[in-house]
Amino acid sequence: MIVTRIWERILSVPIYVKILGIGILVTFLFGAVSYYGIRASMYRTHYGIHAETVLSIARSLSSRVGKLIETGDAAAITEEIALVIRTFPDVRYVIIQGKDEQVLGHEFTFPTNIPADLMLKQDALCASCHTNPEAGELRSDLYAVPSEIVVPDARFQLWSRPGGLILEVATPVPSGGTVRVGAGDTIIQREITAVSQSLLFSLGVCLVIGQTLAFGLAYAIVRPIQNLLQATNRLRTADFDTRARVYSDDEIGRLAQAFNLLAGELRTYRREVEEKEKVRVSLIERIVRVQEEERKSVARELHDQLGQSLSSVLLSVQGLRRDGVLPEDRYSRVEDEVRGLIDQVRRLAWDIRPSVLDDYGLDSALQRFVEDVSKRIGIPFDYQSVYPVELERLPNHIEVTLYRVAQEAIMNIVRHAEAHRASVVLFRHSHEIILIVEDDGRGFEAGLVFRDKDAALGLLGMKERVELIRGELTIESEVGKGSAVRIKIPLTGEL
Amino acid sequence: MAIRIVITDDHAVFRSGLRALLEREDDFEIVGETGSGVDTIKLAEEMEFDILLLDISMPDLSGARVAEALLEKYPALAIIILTMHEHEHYLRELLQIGARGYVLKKSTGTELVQAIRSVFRGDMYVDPSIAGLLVSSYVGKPASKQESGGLQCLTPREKEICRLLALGFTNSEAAEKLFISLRTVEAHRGNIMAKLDLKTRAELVRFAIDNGLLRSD
Repeated sequence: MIVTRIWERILSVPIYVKILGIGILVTFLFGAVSYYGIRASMYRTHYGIHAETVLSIARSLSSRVGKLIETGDAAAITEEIALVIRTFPDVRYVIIQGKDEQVLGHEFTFPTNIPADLMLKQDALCASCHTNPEAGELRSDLYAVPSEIVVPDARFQLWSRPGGLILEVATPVPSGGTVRVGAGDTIIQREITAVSQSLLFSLGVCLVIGQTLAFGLAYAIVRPIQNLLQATNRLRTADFDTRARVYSDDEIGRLAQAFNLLAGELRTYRREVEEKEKVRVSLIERIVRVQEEERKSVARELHDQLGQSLSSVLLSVQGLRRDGVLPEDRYSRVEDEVRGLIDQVRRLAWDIRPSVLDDYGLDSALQRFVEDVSKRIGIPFDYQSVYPVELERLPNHIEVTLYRVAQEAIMNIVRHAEAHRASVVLFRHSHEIILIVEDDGRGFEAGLVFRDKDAALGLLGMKERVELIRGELTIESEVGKGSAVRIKIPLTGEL
Repeated sequence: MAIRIVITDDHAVFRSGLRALLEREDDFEIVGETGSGVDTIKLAEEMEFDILLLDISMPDLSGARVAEALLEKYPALAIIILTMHEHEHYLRELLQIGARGYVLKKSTGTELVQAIRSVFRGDMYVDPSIAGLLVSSYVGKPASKQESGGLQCLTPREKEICRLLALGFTNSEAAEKLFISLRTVEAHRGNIMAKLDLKTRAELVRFAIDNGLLRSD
C-alpha cells in the first residue's frame, strides 16, 4: 500500500523534475563510486610504494652503519642519520641502536617537540639519555595502529597521530644492532588530496554540463506536451480551429499531428451535426407551426362553419315551430338535440385550439383551461398570474407554446401525479415570462421518469417546444414531495 | 313605429333564417343585412337603424372591432351580440365596448326577440345562461387569507424566500441565490406555507402580491 502510494507520488512529479532527478542521481552515484574507488586504490598503491621506499632506506642505512657501529664512531653515525633526513623529507625520525639495543644516534624532524608518546613507548631507550617526562605533561599524539606487517628481515609498525600516519621500519644491522626509520605520509596525503580535489572538480563540471543538457532535454520534451495540453483544453471549449504546434518528428510530434487531424475532423463533424441540428430544429418548428395552423383552422372551421350551420338549423326549426305543423314537444326535442350538437362542436373546437388564446391571450386562455380541468377532474387547480396589462401581448408563437406546454404539464399531473392540489402560476415580466406548474402529488425521480416511455416522450416534447423559442424547462421533483415544472422564456431580442 | 334592424353575420344561411324568424314580429323591420363588418360600417353611413345584431367571429373584422368603430361614431346605436362564444372574456369585452345585449346563437328565438325589445327600450340584455359568468367575475377570487398573521409572522429569511418563490425561482435557484442548501429552502418553504396557511404556490404568489412583497422588484 505504502509502496504503491510512494510510487504514485514519484510518478506524479513533473516530467522535467524526473529528467533532472535522474541526471543528478546518475551523476552522483557514478561520481561517488569512482571517487571512493580511485581513492582506495591510490591509498593502496601509494602506501605500498611508501613502505618499500622506507624499507629500502632502512636497509641501505643499516648496510652503511654496520661498520660504524662496530667502531663506535658516533659522529659518523650522526652524519649518516642527518644525510638520510636531508635526502628524504618524509622521514620523521631515525634511530640507530647498537648490539645491546643502546641508542647510538637519533634524529627527529617533528615540526614541534618530539612526541612524548614515542619517548614513552621507547622509555627504556630514552631514559638512558633523557629524563623521563612526567605522565601529566604527556601529549598523546601517537597511537599504535594494530596492524603489524612482518617481513623476514624487517619489522613494520604504524603509528597514527593527528598529523598523519607514521610508518616505522626496523631492520637489523647484519653485524648487530638495529636501524629504525619512521616516515610520515604528508606527501602521499598531499598527492591524494590533490587528485581527489581535481576529481571532485571534474565531477562538479560534469554535473553542471549534464544538468544543463538534461534541462534542455526536459524543456524539449515538456514544451510540446504542454503545448498539446493547452490545445486540448482549447478544443474542449469547442475551439475547433485550434492547432497544436509540431516541434519535431518524434513520437510527440506525431502525436501533435494526430491531434491536429483529430481537431480538423471534429470541426467537420461538428459542422455536420450543427447542420443536421439546424435542419431538425427547423423541421420541428415547421411541424409545430403547421400543426398549430391546422388546429387553428380546424377549430375555426368547426366553430364558425359547422357551429353556424347548426345555428341556422336551429333557427329553421324555430321558424317551423311557428308554422305549427307538428306537436310542440317534437320541435323542442329537435331544438335540444341541435343545441347539444352546437355544444359538442364548440367544446371540440375549444379543445383543438381555444379561440380565447388568439383573441384574448395566454393569461385568459390558461385561466380558462385551469378552471375547466379543475371542474372536470376534481383536483383543485389554483391559477394565479402576475400579468401587468400595460405590457403588450406576447408574440403568438410564444403564447401558443406556453399554452401547449402548460396543457401537457397539467395533464401529466392529472394522469400520473395523484395530487391533492396543484397550481399554475404565470409571471409576465418585461424581459422574460415564467410559467410554473406545481403539484403535491407523488412526485418522481427526475432521472427515472425517462424510463417510462410515454412520460419521457411527453417531457422531451415539452422541452423541445420550449427550446424552439429559446426557453428553458426545469423540473424539480422528488418522490413523495410533488413536482414542479418551470418554463422560462427570455423576451429579449427578436422573437 | 317599427324597430329597424340590421343583421351582420358572415353566414348567409344563418342570416336568412334569422330574417325569416324576426320578420314574423309585426313591429320588426329588417332594413339591412351584411356579411362583413366593413359592409356594416359602410351601411351605417348610408342609413339609420335602431338595432344591430352582430356576430363576433367574422373573417375580415371581428365583432368587437366593428362595435368599437360604430359606437365611436354613433354612441346611441344599440348593438346586440349574437354569437356562439360562451366565454366570460368575450362577454366582458363586448359589454365594456358598449354592446347592450349578448345573446347566444343556441338560445331560443323568443329569447332573441325579447332581447331586441328590451334593448330597444333602453335596457341591457344578457343571455340568462351566461349571465352567471358576469356575477362570478365580479365576485372574483377569494382574497388571500389575512387572519393567519400575515407578513409579520415571517422571519426576514422566510420573507426573502417567500419573495423569491413568488418571483418564479425554483427551490434550487433560491437555495443557490441565498447560499443555503436545497433542504433548507424546502424547510423554510414548508414553514412559510404552514404559518400563512397557504396550500399552493399560486396562493403564495397572491399573498406576496397582496402584501407588496413583489413591489421592490
